Amino acid sequence: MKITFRYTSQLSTAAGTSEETLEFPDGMSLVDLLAKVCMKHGSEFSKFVLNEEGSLVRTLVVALDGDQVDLSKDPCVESGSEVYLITPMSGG
Amino acid sequence: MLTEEDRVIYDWQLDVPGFGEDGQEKLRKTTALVSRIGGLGGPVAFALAAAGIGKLILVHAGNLRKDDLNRQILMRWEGLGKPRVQSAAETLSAFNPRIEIEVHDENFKEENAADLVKGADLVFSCAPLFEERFLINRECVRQKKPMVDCAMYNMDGHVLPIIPGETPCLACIFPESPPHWKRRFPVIGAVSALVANVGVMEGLKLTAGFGTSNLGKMLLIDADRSSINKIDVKRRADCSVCS
Repeated sequence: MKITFRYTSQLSTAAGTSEETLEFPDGMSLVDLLAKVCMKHGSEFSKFVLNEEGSLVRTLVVALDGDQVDLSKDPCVESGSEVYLITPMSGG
Repeated sequence: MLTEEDRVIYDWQLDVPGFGEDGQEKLRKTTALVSRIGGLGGPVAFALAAAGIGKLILVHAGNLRKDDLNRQILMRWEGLGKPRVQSAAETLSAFNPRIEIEVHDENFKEENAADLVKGADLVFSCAPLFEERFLINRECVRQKKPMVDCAMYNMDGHVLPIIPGETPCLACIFPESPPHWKRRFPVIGAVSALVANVGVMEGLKLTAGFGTSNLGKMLLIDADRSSINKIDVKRRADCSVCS
């Protein structure tokens, strides 16, 4: 299945892009997809997604097809979906 | 009541569908607090002044530095080394002498937060430190004041309109300070102004009651791809601030 990922701010910088479409086996859950994307982009990316204990960072906002997701529910993702990963930003 | 001068100055925006003289009067009666008034808050204050807000409360400690000048559009060269709020007030007053301006050469802190928010009808949070942003959020929730949270990084920004008790507050979205945030981040002035003006539009729509509501949504601005996306966001049942 093809999933489009959108990244903001520090995630976008770490990934080297604000958008990419990736191919995965059918039936993967959202958390599994996040783990795959972290493996792809390495530690400078994954530190905004997973903490040192391997748990999801509490300040990461994830939206699936435009809706904020409760990652504890770990929904399955369908082909053609869009996953938005948002890290906090500030002012100045 | 609008004056004849108001009708001349705001003539072109009185024709915006749903806005009209009612909307302009509502703005005239509104006090907006902007903290701080740098890359985001500066253009926020400027756009509010252009729209005819009744009063601005500007909150920002410290003196102007050269590395502020790529984005802090209320500032001026001769203001280097002097309080930012002084330059800001001078710029805004020269632009629109009909609005009332109150300045505070200090940042939001526990000691002043309640009094600052008390004086405002609408708050724009544009501060750099997460502790400050959470404090502004907490006080707006406590006093039930509408708030627009504006933020940026590199080519990205977010705008989050907040009605305490109805929409997610900032702590619902970000329950704690981010572990890897750096105080200094890349930003071009045009990006901060873009995000700021998107934020002002949300504030104007809330205040004047026109246009499409984005309550319950987070607006995500991507200046690289020239897009604004929206996601639906949710209140956190165990939010430490608003639940």
